[in-house]
Amino acid sequence: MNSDSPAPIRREPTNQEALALKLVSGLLMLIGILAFVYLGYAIATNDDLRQAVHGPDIPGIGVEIVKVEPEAGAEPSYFEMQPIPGGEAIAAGVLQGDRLTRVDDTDITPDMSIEQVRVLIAEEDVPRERDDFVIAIEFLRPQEDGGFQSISRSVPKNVAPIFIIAYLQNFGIVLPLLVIVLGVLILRLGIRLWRGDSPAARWATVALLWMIVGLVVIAIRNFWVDGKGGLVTDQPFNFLNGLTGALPVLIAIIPLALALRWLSGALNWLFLSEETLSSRNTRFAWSLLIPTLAALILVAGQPLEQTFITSLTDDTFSASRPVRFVGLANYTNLLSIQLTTVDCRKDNSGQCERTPNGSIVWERSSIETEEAERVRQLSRQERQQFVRFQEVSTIPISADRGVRILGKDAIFLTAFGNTVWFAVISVTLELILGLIIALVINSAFRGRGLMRTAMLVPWAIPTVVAAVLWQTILRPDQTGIFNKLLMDLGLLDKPQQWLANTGPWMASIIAVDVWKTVPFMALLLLAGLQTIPGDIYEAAAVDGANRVHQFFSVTLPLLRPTIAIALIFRTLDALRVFDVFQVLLDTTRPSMATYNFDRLVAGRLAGYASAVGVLIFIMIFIFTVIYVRIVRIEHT
Amino acid sequence: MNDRLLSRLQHGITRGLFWALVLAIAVYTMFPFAYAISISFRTNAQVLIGARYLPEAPTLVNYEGLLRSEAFMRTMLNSSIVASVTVILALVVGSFAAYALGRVQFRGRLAILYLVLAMTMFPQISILSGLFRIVTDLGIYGSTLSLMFTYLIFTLPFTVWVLTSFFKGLPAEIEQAALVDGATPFQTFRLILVPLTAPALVTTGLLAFIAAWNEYLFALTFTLINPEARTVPVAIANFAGLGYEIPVAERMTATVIVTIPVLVLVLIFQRRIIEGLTAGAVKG
Repeated sequence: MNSDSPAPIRREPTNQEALALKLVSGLLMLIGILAFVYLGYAIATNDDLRQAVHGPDIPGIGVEIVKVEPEAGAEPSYFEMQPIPGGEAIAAGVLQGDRLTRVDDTDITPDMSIEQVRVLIAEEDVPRERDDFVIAIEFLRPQEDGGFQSISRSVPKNVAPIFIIAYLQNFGIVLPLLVIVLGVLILRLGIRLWRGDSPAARWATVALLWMIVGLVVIAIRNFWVDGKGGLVTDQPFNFLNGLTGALPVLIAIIPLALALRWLSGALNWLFLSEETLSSRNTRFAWSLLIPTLAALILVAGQPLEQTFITSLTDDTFSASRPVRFVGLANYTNLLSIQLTTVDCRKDNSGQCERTPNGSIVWERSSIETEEAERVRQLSRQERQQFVRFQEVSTIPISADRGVRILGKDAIFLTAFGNTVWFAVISVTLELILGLIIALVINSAFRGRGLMRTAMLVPWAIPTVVAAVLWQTILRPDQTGIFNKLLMDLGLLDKPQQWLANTGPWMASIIAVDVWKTVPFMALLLLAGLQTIPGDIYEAAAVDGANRVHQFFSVTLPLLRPTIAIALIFRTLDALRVFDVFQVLLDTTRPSMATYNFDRLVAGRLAGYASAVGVLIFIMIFIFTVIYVRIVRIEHT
Repeated sequence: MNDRLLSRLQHGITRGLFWALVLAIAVYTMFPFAYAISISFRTNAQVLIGARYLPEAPTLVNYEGLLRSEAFMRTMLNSSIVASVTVILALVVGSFAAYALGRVQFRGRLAILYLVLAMTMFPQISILSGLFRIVTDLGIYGSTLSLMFTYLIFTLPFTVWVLTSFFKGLPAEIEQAALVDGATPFQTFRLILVPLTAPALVTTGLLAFIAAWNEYLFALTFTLINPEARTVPVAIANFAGLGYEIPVAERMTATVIVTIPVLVLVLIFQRRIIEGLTAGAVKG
C-alpha cells in the first residue's frame, strides 16, 4: 500500500468486468463496515455490559415474594418465598414455600406491603461501596408435622457488574482496536479498488486469502465445539450439531473465495503497473507474517492484556459479587516489606534459646507487637479486612540480634526469595559443571560420541518425570536408593529426609534441576568451544602457556558471548521454575510460579494471582531485553 | 631416566583422573534413569521393603498392568495427539513467517525478528489467568484442544526463530534463479525452499515436539476438570496407581514407558538435535 495514486487500468474493462470489480470492492467495503457493526453488536448485546447498565437480570437474592392471606383469619398473613432459577437464593438453600420473617435488621410484619418487602431484599437499597453484597434473611420452614423450623441465612445478592471493568474483561483494548484498524484498512482497500488501483488489488488478494483461512479455522472450531455440545461433556460427538455450527461460516467463505478467484485472475490482465521490488517484498513478507502474528496476539498478547487488567481488580472465580477495581492494591499487598531488628529470646543463663535443630528463637519485633495491639481495637469486620505484616525470615547479624524481614504477603516474599536463591545457585552450579563437561567432551578421547549421547538422556526426560524420578531416589527412609548409597559408602549413619521441611530440601531441589539441565548447558558451551579455532591454542602453547593458563587466557575470553547467552537463557528458565517445586514440595515452600498457580487454582483469586503473574512477567522481561541485546550484538 | 619415569607417571595420573572424571559424568547422567529401569522390574511390595541397586527377581508385572490400563494409554495417546497437532501447526505457520524474516528484505523485519526472539522467553505462568479466561470463553476448557491451541505460545516463536536462521543460511541465488524461470514467490517457497529445509523442519519439529510432550503447567491447569484429557506429565505427577498403597514401582515403570519414545527419537536424531538446540539459543 505504498503509492496512493491509482494506477491506470491496462485496458478498458468490459461492462461485465467493471461490474465484477465493483462487486469485489463492494464486498471488501462491506466487510470493513461489518467489522465495525460486529464490534458494536458484540458490545451492545454483551450480557455483563447490559446488566451493568440496566441492573441485574434477577434483582435481590433471586426470590419471588408472594403475600399469602389465609382465609377467615385462621392465622395472620405471611410472605412466602419462591426462589427463581439463576438467583442466589437456591444456592443458599431457600426452598419453595419458606416464610420470610426478617431481612437484615428489619422484621417482616403482616401489615407490610409486598413492595416494601421487595425493596428490602432488592439490590437498589444496598450502596455500591458496601463491601459485603450479602443480605441476612430469617425465615420459617414448614415442617411435615405442621410446625415450623426457624432458619437464618446469609445470601449474596445478584449485583450488576461495573461497566468499565465488565467492558475491559470482556473486550479489552487491543482486540477492539485491532478490529477497528483492520476494518479501516479493508474499507480503504475496497474504496481504492473501486477506483481501479492496482496495488490495492494485490493487497486485496492477500486480505481475502487470510480472511478465508481465518473463517476455515473458525468453522473447524465451531464444528468441534458445537459437535461436542459446548463444553467438555460425556455426550458422543454429534455430527449434525457440528455441521450446523460450521455451516454459516462455510457459506460466508463462498463470496470471499469467488472474489479471490476473480481478482487473482484479473491481476494479470486488468491492472497495469509492474509492482516495484520493495513494495512486492513488503506485501509478500506481510502476507506470510499475518498468521504468526495473529496466533501470537491471540495466544500471548490478549491473555497478557487480560492478566494485566485482572491484576487491577479483586476478581475471584465463581464469586457472586461483581468484580471491583482495586487499583494497585494487589501489588502493594504483594510488595509491602518492612525491615526491623529483633533480639533473641534469652534463657536463664543469658544465652540465646535455640530450637532442637539449632536455629535461634527470636522475640517478636516491635512492629508485630504494635500491629497486634491495633488489631485488637478493630471491629470484627475491620479485622477481617486488615492484613498484618508477618515474618518472612530473620537473619542473625550478631550474637543476640537479627534483622527481620516482614511482609504483608509473607508467602509471596518467601516464594520470591526461594526462586531467586534457587536461580542463582542452580545456574552457577550448572555453568561450572556444564563447562567441565563441555571441556571433557571437547577433548579427543574414545567414546566421546557415546558420552555426548548419554548427555541427552537427562535433557530428553520431561521435567515432571525427572522430578518424580528423583522423588523416588530421594525417598526419606531405607526405600530411597540415595540414602542406601550414602549409607553403603559410610557417609550417612541414618536415612536423611531430603525433601522434608526440616531437611536440605532446597539443596535437593537444586540437585534435581542441575541434573536435568546441565546437559543442555554443556551442549551450548560445547558448541561455543567448537567455534574456537585450534591454531589459537597452538600459538598459545608455543608462547609457553600451560593448559590452565590457556583456559583462562584463550578459552574463557573467547567463550564469553556463549557463556553470557547460556547464563541468561538458564536464568530465565530458573526464574519461572514450576514443575520441580510443584511436584516435590508442598505449597508452604513455593516458587513464584507455583505460588501464582496456587492462588489461581486453589485460592480462585484471579485478580491477586494475575498480579503475581505480572510481577513475574516484569522480572523475566528485564532479562529478556538483556538477552535480545546480546544476541543482537552477536549478530552485527 | 628418573625424569622420564616421573613424566610417564604424571601422564598416567592425569589420564587416570581424566577417565575417572568421564566415568563420574557418565554415572551422574545415567544413574537416575537406570535406577528407574531397575525399579520397574520389581514389584511394589519389594520396592517398599527397601532400596536395591538391581531387582532381586525381575518381573514384568508393572509393564503388563500399565500397558493394559486404558487410562494410562489414553494419556499417551492424548500427549501424542496434542504434541503432533501443535507442532504441525507451528511448523506450517512458522515456516511462512520464518521465510519472510529470513529471505525477504522489508521494513520492520528486525523489529519483528527480535519480538519473536523475546517471545521464545515468554513466561507462561504470568499469563495463566488471562489464558484461562480465553480458553473458557472459546469453550475449549478441559479438552485437549485447549492444549493444542495454547502450546503455540512456546512452539511457534521457537520454530520461527530457528527456521529463520536456516532460511538465512541458504544461498541467495536460489530465488533469483527461480524468478528467472518464472516462478512466483510462493512457488519458490513451496517447491524449492521447503524441500531444501526439510532437515531443518524435522529438527525444529522434533525439538518443539519434545517441548510440547514435556509441558506440564498448561496441561495441569486446563485439564483439571477432565481427567480424560490429561497428558503424560500430568498423569505421572498425579499417578494414583492401579489400586494399592503408594505405587512407587508402577510410577517408575510409567516414567520409563513415557520416556522411551522420546529417548528413541533423541537417539536417532541426536546430531540434528544438538545442532538445533544450539542454533535455537546461540546463533540467529
